[in-house]
Amino acid sequence: MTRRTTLSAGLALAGLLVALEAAPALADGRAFVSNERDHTVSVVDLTSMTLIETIKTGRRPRGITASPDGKLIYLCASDDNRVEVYDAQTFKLVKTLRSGPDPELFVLAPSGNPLYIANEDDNMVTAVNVENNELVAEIPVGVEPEGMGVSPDGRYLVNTSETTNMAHVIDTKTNEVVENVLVDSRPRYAQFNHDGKQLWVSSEVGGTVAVIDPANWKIIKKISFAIPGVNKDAIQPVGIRITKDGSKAFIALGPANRVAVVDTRTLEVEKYLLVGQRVWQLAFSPDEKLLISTNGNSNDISVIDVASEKVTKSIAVGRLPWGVVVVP
Amino acid sequence: MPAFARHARRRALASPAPPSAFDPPARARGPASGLSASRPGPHLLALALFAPLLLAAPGAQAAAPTGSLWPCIQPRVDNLAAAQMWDGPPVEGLAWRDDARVADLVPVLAARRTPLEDADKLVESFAREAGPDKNQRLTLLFAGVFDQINSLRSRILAGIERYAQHQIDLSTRIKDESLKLAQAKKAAANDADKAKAAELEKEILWDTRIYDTRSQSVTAVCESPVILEQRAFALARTIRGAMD
Repeated sequence: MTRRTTLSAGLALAGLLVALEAAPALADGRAFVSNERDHTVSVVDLTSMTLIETIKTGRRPRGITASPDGKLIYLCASDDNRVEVYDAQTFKLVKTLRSGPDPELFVLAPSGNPLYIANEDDNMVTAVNVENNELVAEIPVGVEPEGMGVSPDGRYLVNTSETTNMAHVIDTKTNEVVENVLVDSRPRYAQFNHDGKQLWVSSEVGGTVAVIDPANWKIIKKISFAIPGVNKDAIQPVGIRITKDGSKAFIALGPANRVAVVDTRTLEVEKYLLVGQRVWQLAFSPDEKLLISTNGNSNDISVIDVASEKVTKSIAVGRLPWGVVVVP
Repeated sequence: MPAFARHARRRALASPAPPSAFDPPARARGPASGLSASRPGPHLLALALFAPLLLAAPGAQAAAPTGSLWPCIQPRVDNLAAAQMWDGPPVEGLAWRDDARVADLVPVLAARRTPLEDADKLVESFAREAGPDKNQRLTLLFAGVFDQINSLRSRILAGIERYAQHQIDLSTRIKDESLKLAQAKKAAANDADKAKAAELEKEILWDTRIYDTRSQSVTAVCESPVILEQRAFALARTIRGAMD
């Protein structure tokens, strides 16, 4: 009995040690940042706020996301025309998936499958089964498709086309475009809020964010931005993140070097946070305490404390950081 | 703008920081005089060769035509905006040179020969000794750094356009010389004529070599305004971070 107890205690301890070793200090998660110019992904531990690993990837990594369980990292290797899948614990390449030409951004269905990929060069959205790498669908959209958003129920996929200036709404049951919403110049990113009642689309050149009602696909409001002393041309909205409780939206404003904080009820900008140069994409930590921004021109990420809406730290990563995802 | 051009632009915007031959001589006084110089990188030679083209007479700046001669994939932005890197008190029109310590420190911080880690330490020690007006004096310090980097950057923009004009002139000259060479070779009746033709051929080769080298350097040259902007941003962040 004693021996068994000791043995099981020993095993438990060993198990704990293994667990600790496998998952060191993960309270706030780890950010995976794609570095477009370095062909790498930087892994930043958000507890210690340090860079813990640099993963060599395919060429020109941009769009990055994670499986719903946080175990796999999906990455668009744009110049290698493929999606790479990495183990979020070991950082090893697990497999590659077809992507169609020049994949820039993608979105995973809420269920974790399929992966919808924007192909910038051939005006298509490619849907790929992540389990067996089979092509599910190729959906023709506007010129230079880029931003990709999916409704929380997985029913609607939204793709923005940079040149056509539209958000294309795709019914995922039929994989056909059912609606086109004209937005301002060069739409970059599409994001549904968590109850699926609003769709936010950023327009980089137009300098606005359109908030769209998915009930009728009409624009409720176009949010514009003004920062004293900053030229209007420098305000280029790109990445968007909305809190789970739906109260706040954060919008990356490119070369304005700021993230706008928007009240989702009034759709008014509350404040602007100075982050790094050419802020591009954003990601929350799993507990939503932190928001990470990628700053392409200062080659770092900024850490924003969501509750206090303050920038608390900047951490150097690779060159031209583009996308970011945080896993537990 | 076609997709490839945008991509190239985006890529070019985040360049590594090759050392610049554009820094004005550091008038380092006080604690900065012992700082180590940054190491030369791959583009140094090319940049050094053409630095005189980029930084000719300051007066030429006003005369430089804008737009048409701009050879870079990056858009030409005439002036940096302080608000793009600074969310502290306004800095426009501040007489930063009236604060002797600030006036001393600004050129040291602005010069690219001062590594950023050293610049950070200098800002820290300035903040420690700044006294009760610390925030105001740090604002002055940023005003000075911004002024200096912005004006250097403006001169470089004008210089890049002169660089482009030189290339255009050089290509015209090569074309003319090539025509002359063809005629000279055809008309060569004796050894003296042939020697002249050979001389002309040498000149063409030399000009072509210069043209090619300069063409290859255009990417590095075009990145210099971006590098200066990165430096201004980094210094703004450090100075702002030292404020209460």
